[in-house]
Amino acid sequence: MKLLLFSMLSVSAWAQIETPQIGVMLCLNGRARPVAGVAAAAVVGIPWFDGAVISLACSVQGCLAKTESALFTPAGMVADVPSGAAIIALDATSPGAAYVYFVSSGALARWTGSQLVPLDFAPGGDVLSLRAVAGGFEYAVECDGEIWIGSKSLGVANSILLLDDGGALLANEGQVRLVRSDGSELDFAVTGVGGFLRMSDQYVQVITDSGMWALDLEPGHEQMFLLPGESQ
Amino acid sequence: MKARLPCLLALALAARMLDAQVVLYSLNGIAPSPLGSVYGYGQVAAGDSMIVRFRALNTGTAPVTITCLSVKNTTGAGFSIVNSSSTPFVVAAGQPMDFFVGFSATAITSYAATLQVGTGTATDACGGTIESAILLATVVPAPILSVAAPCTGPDANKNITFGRIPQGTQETCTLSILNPFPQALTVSPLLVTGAAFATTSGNAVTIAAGQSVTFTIKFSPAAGSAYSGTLTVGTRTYALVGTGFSSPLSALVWNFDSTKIASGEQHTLSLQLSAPASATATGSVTLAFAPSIKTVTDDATVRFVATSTRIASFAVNAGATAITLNAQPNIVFSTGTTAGTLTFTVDSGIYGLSGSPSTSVMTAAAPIALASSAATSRANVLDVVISGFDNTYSIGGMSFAFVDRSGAAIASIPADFSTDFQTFFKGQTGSSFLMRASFPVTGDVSQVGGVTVMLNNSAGVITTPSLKFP
Repeated sequence: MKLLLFSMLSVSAWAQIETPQIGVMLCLNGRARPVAGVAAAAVVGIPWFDGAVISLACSVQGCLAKTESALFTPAGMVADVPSGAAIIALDATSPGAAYVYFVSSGALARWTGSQLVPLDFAPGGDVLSLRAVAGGFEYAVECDGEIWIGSKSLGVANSILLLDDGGALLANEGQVRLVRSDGSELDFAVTGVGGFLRMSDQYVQVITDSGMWALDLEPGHEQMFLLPGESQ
Repeated sequence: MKARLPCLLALALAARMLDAQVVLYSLNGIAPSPLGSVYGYGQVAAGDSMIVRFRALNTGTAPVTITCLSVKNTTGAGFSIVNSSSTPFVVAAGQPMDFFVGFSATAITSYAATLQVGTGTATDACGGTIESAILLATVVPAPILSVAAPCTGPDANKNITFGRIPQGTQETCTLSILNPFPQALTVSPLLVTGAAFATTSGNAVTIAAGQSVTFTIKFSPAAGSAYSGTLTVGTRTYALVGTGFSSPLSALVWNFDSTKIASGEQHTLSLQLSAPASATATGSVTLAFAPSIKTVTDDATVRFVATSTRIASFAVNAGATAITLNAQPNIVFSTGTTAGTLTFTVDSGIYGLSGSPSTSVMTAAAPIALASSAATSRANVLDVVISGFDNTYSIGGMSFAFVDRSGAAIASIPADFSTDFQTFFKGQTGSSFLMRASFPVTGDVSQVGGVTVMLNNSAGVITTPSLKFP
């Protein structure tokens, strides 16, 4: 059986080769631009469209972006939504779907891929990040100066991004901390972090007051690098 | 009687224009002035030449043919037409014909000539209507000016050069005026102009026959710049030229954040001067890349990250050693994904630089760098997805070692995708790649538990972690 199996393997193997995609970044001027290449040797492409994006999240399944008053996908699906920033959690278990929390109104909705469905939501604090989990979602809130996920405190942080694999990114006092789901941690020295943005499944954009960084989350390859043209 | 002379001149001028289709002008620069019956060249130093531009303007409504253009020396022989169009010359209505009359003589006396411009016939070119003027000049004794080192000149264009000296310093040159004539000569005026030039000589000097006098001119450039002035010695005017320059910046001290620099990295460069700058200076630093791979001409991902280009500004303040790059204490650059040499060069422009303006770092050929790797399965197909870069552009040969769910080896399968990669690299910037290697399988793919891939390039072999199939 093994001989049969692998004789077929060796004869018929083929390879497709293409340019690796890092993800989509948000530029200082609010343009959403694709980033290709590899870490530290990235190339930025042309903006999606000539307008400002204020919230964005991307994965291998696609992107969901928010302008001041609309939620849209690169494929052209558009929905009118409350103004201001949004926290977007793509749902890996349901391609094209996402949870969207509108910061100014405190409303939560589920994006089905074509429309928004409002959800009842009473977070009990300022929602800082959101992620889809099997059968629902979980979120991080700031309460009493600490960041909480449910009943678990993550301590003090200026910014947080909940990762799909159960981990989290936390920014505080000149460093970004990558907390894996197994509890292991990695620290990266970077100051002035103002927020995180999910560029893709593997990369997170780290927005700082001196420029735009990207963090490679791939286990064993974790590193931060500056994104081209967006740093001092 | 006193009132009649201007009247006569006015009448003469009017007559020259009456019924005349051609009117004469002299030009001082580009500004024309109507030419009277007499034009004086003034005093001209013996041996010097003086050239005046004249214009014959057709004020009529029809073309006119100028057949006569001549200068007849009536006293001495000093005037001549030095440049003009040949006659007959047709001048369209409203258009001019310019010509130049020069004067030069050595005998100390007065000179006169008659300038004629006519529209006569072919057989009598200067007959018919003629416009004319008397040209006058006086040749005066001219002293001989000489200049001692370190200055040079005067050259044929009457330039006296003080050369280049550091700003804030001064250079004094001694000049001599020789009176070669057998009688005393008063040179007046004797003047120096120009902000950076000064002399202690008087405004005039009398020189005994066959004697000379000396005086000095001091050149004091306040800044790094070119300076000019004039020296007037009697009827002659000389140009004084000199340049002040800043002391060159001291040698550069190049600081990289690491001594080990490889492809696929970002590094920080900072620059210092080995001694404080003598002046505030600005310029640029450029980054050049020379691939060591013969088939590659460049890698656009080698660049300064902040500017996304290969050039950045630099600046240093007077008295400081720290150089800012792109207005920051340092600058980050990407090394790209191609083996080669990165060369940084500072262009300090007019400020100059001591020592070499360049330094280079090399990114060596290295085994394939992996960015990610994963294994997935579809119905009857196993996929291995690997991304990374190969700074040698020689990737292709690889080996896939499959194991079953218990971890026991099933088989090691070699593959060569060199042709696929070479085709891919031809349209690429840099060597980054994402490869999806697919293996069709007959049988139950779930038996295959994992795979480890060995990838070869000209610099070595790299092995992926053990990739698990879901």
